[in-house]
This record gives sequence, structure tokens and C-alpha cells, in this order.
Amino acid sequence: MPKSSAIPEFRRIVWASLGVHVLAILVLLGVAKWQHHDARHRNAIIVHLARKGEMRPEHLLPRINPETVPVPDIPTAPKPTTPVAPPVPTPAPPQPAKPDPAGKQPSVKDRLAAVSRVSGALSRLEKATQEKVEGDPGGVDSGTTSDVQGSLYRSRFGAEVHACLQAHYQFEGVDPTLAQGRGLEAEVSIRVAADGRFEKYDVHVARKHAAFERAVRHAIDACGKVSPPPAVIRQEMKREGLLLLFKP
Amino acid sequence: MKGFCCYLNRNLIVWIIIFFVSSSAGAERVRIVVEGAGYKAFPIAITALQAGSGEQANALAAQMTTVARTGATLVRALELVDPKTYLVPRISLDKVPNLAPWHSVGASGLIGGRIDVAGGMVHAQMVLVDVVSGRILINRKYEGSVAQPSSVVYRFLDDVIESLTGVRGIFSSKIAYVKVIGSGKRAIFYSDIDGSHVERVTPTDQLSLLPAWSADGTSMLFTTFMQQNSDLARLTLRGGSLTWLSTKRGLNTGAAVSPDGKRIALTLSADGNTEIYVMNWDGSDLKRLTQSWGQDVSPTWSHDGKRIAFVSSRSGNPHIYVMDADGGNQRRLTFKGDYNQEPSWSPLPDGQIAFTGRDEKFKYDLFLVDPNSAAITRLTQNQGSNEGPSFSPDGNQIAFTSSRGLQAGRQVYVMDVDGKHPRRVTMAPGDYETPAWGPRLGYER
Repeated sequence: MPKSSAIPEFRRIVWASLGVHVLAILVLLGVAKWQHHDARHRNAIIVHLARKGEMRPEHLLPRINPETVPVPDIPTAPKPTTPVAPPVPTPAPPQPAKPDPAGKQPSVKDRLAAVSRVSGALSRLEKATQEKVEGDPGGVDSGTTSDVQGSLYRSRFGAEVHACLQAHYQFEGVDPTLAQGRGLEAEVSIRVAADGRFEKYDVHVARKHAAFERAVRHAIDACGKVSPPPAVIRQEMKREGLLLLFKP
Repeated sequence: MKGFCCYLNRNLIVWIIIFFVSSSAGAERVRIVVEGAGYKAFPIAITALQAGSGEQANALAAQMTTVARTGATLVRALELVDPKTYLVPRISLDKVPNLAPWHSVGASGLIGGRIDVAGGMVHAQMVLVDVVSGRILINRKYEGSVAQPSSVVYRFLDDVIESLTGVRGIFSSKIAYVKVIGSGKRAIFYSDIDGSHVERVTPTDQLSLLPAWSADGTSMLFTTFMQQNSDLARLTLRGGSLTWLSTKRGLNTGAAVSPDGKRIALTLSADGNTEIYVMNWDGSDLKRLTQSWGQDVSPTWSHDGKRIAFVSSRSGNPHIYVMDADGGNQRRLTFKGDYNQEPSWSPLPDGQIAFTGRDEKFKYDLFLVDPNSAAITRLTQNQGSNEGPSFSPDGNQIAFTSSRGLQAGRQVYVMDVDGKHPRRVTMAPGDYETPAWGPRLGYER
């Protein structure tokens, strides 16, 4: 008799234990789901607000965006010019990185990802410079591993020079569109010193155009200096330099 | 977004060019293409002009300094560097000055000078220095009447603009306009581009309208009711000799002189309906160009004299049309709006046509239409009524009338061709109409 009553008791304990475990699992799943739901809503949602409205009918004359309507005139007041700071002669020495004042530190995961990206890029660069050159046996034998590295640096350095010149390339007092389509071109041979200074340049123009020549010379003079060329191409930049082709 | 994409694409192309040229060429030099220049007005510093001996020289030097600084604000090509920022008040004329203080205030050009007075004449030694290259671009002597020192300054500023941009300045040009001087009475006047030196053209108070300059700026054409009919007359500005060019029955109006000065386009209603005609400078060889049931008026010539834009109501409402100078290939240019009038064709190659349009709120404003693509750009908005555009001889500015800020009447204004920097030209109270910007003139007049 005691034996027969012990079995249902055991079953009850098993079922109760199972119920408690299932309940615990459900609670855990619920908490996990709630956490996941909360985390998703903590992410920033960037939206682009667009003014809702009907399209302007085709048959009407255009309107100016209200933000761009000129301010009513002031009859004879001279237009003031904001003075431009003089160019800094030498770049400031590199400063150690300061901690973010906002106190928001990147997570370990972010740092690992950044390190992984950098090391990945470095390994790809190393591989590119060290691996055997493969190609068509009938092709020209002019590529070397050092050329690959040099061309990468040339490309990067050339892009910096381009960005600097483009930023200062402005026609002063003449609408540049008036000079376009007239076949105006200026070829400039320029040498770059080891510290990145533009050392010497010659401007050759096929057709004379005062404003165009001024814009070309001003872009070179105003840019003046870029980062020192990488060691791989330093001699080349000093000896042969760059060839610039300006168009309006 | 579109601009950003274009920028991105352009830079991407440059990157690709740089990479491929540098990687494939090996020992060849890196070649960089720089194109798509921006625009900015030429930043210029104008130092206080030095005075020779005598009180009059002192006063004139101060006056001419002010005229030069104000003059730099009147044209689109120049931008005056604020004199309050100058670290050096004057410069030496004997040698290239130290340019560092001028670099630091953002000046690309530097102006200085010395003023002397002798025998009722002002003698000015004026200098322009290129701050970027350090070269002296102008070092020249100018003479003029003590009574009009501004003409000396403006002659120098025209040289400055020509030296910097390759295109002569417009300080010698004049702006003509109609002034309402009573009920049914209108007279034609003209002034310098800064609004000074106002001269009256038409001798009587009878209705005179729609001034148009001759190509050399020595005479003016206008419509007048002196003979109780709307006749077209020409008046020489020196001597005041009047010639009747067209006195046909009905309207003889809206004259526009071709760029070469040999032909006149005009509107006549002798055949019952207003149509566009052309004739020689002396009024001979009259030819009809348009023939439609609508009103065809307000002709304006393209820069090369090969095409004419005009207003026609042949489609029901007035719109801008273009045709060849012989009347061929007539086509409608504007399809937006329902009341487009008063076209003025830019004197530049591929220049646009400015016109007055009435929008859906019944406001008159200024617009540009591209004669090739027919794309329309709005220039004015929410600043009163703006009408009667007329291009400056360099195509960089537009004169027009505006009622902005006024209780009554309209004044003559000038703005850049992109609608920026509007400034008032006429200062005397009154009501002004239909400005006409004349050609560059010699300074002897």
C-alpha cells in the first residue's frame, strides 16, 4: 500500500517540477523578449522630414524656395568681407588623442571591430605588395611589387592634391560658365618638396584668358602646401612632380 | 542631393583617373585633372587715397576714396574688403607694398593712389596690385574735371575690372528711365549707374515712353505723343537734335536697336493689328516680321543680332516668343504663367531672356528663360511688384522697377543676374517706369 501511494506522489513531484521549469523558461523567454524589444527602441531612428503638399502645377510660373529669397536691399551700404585668416606656415605637431569630452566611450566590441578593419586593410596591403605578380605571359614586364605600392601612394597623394586645388579653384569676378566650351586648358608642371610645399611650377595655356589664368595660379598659390609625400614617391615628386590639367 | 551626387561622381572619376594613370604608367608622372571652377566676386581692398598739397586735394582724396569704395559695391565682379579690417591705412606707390597685411584680410587685389589738383583739374596716380602674385597690374595717371572726380575714379575702376577679368567694366554706362511727372505726363531721364548725375532727355512734359539706347550710346529712341500720335523719335544726347523715325497711323513704339547699331526692331499697328517690323537706322527699308491675329509687341535682339524675342498673344495670353531676325522660325518659348511680357535678351553669348511674369497671385515678378531649353528661373518674389527688366552691358546685372517698401510708386533698382544684391538707383521720390541700361560709353562726353 505504501508502495502504491508513493508512485502517484513521485508523479506529482515530477509534474510540479516540470511545471515550475516550464514557467521559469516562459518567464525567461518573456524577459529576454522584453529586453530585445526595449533595446530595439533605444536605437536612434533618423527620419528625413519632407514637407507634405501637392506638386506645383506645371502651367504655373516657378516660385523661389522661401529660404533663398534675397533680403530686401540696403541702398548704398558696402558689402563687408569677412577677413580670411593667414595660412598656417607649418602644420602643428601631432597631439595625443584626447578622451571624448562627452564621456561616451566606444564599446569593446566597437574597438575590436575597428582594429579588425585596420588589420584587415594592412594585411591586404601587405599581401598586395608581397605576392607574386601573375598575369598574361605575353604581357609587358613592367609591373613590380614596389610599383603597386607606389601607385597606391601616388593615387592617395594625388587625390589630396586634387582636393586642395579644387577647393581653391575659383574664378574671381567672372562667371566660369562663360569660359566653358571655348577649349581653354592650362597645363601645369609642379614639383612638390619633401615637406609638401609646392616648390616650382610652370603654367602653359593654349589660349589667353586673364580670369582663367588667375584662377589657376590662385588655386596653386592658395593651396600652397599639402601633406608631405609618402617616402616611396618623395624623390619622384621632388624631381618630376605632378602634371596638372586645369579646365574652366 | 543631385549636386552632391554630381560632386561624388566627378570626384570618383578623378580618383579613377589618378589611380589608373599612376598605376598603369609606372614611371610616368601623376596627372591630375581639375575642372568645374567656382565663382566669387574679386575681393579688393581700397586704401585711403593720398593727397598732394592743399586743402582741395585733401577733400578730393577723401571724396574719391569714398566713391571708389562705393563703386566696388555697385558691380558684381568686385567685393570690397571691409576698410575697418585694414591693418595699414595707406600704401606706397613707389614700390610693391608689403602684402602680408592684405593677405591676412582676405584681399586678392589692392588699390591705392595719390590725388593732386592743378588748374581746375584733378590728377590721380592710381595703382592696382595683385596681392596673390605680388605684381603691379596698373600704375597709371588719370585726369579729369575737379567738378566730376567720380568720372576719374570710375574710369580707373573700369580698367581694374578689365585687368582682373578680361572684360571692361560698366561704370561708363548710363541707365535711362521714364519718370511720371504729372497726370498723363511722362519724361525720360538718365543717370550714372549709382543714380547720380541725372540728366533729362525729353524736352517737353508730353507723354514720352519706352527709351532705347543707340548702340554707341550717343542718342536715344523713344515713343512720344508730341504730335498727338504715338510716334517714334530719335534724339541725339549731345546737341538735342530730334529725328522722327516712324510716324505712321496708330502705334509706332517699342524700338530696339540691333547690337551692330544698323537696324531697329519696332512695333507698328498701321495695318490694324500690332506687329513686329524691322527697318534701317535711318528709318528706310521697313519690313514686316510677324503676321498673327494676336498682339505682337516688345522686340529685343539676341547678342549676335540673329534672333529677336518678342511678346505675342496669339495663343490667347501674352507669352514670350523667339524668331530669326528675318521673321522665320517663330516659336513660343514660355508655357508657364498666363501673362509674360517685357523681354530683355542678355548681351552675352548663350544669354538668357529676362521677362516680367504675373504669377497666380497676380503679382508681377522677374524671371529668366533659357532660349534653348525654355527652363524658367524666378529672380524676385514677395518684394512688391517688379517689372521692366533691362540687362547691363556686361550681362551681369539687371535694372528694373520695384514697388518694394514703398507706399506708392516704383523706383529703379539694380540686382545681380542671379537675383542677389538688389540696390536702389533712383533716390528722388516719384514713380518710375521701363528702365533701359545703355552701352559702355567713352568718358569724353
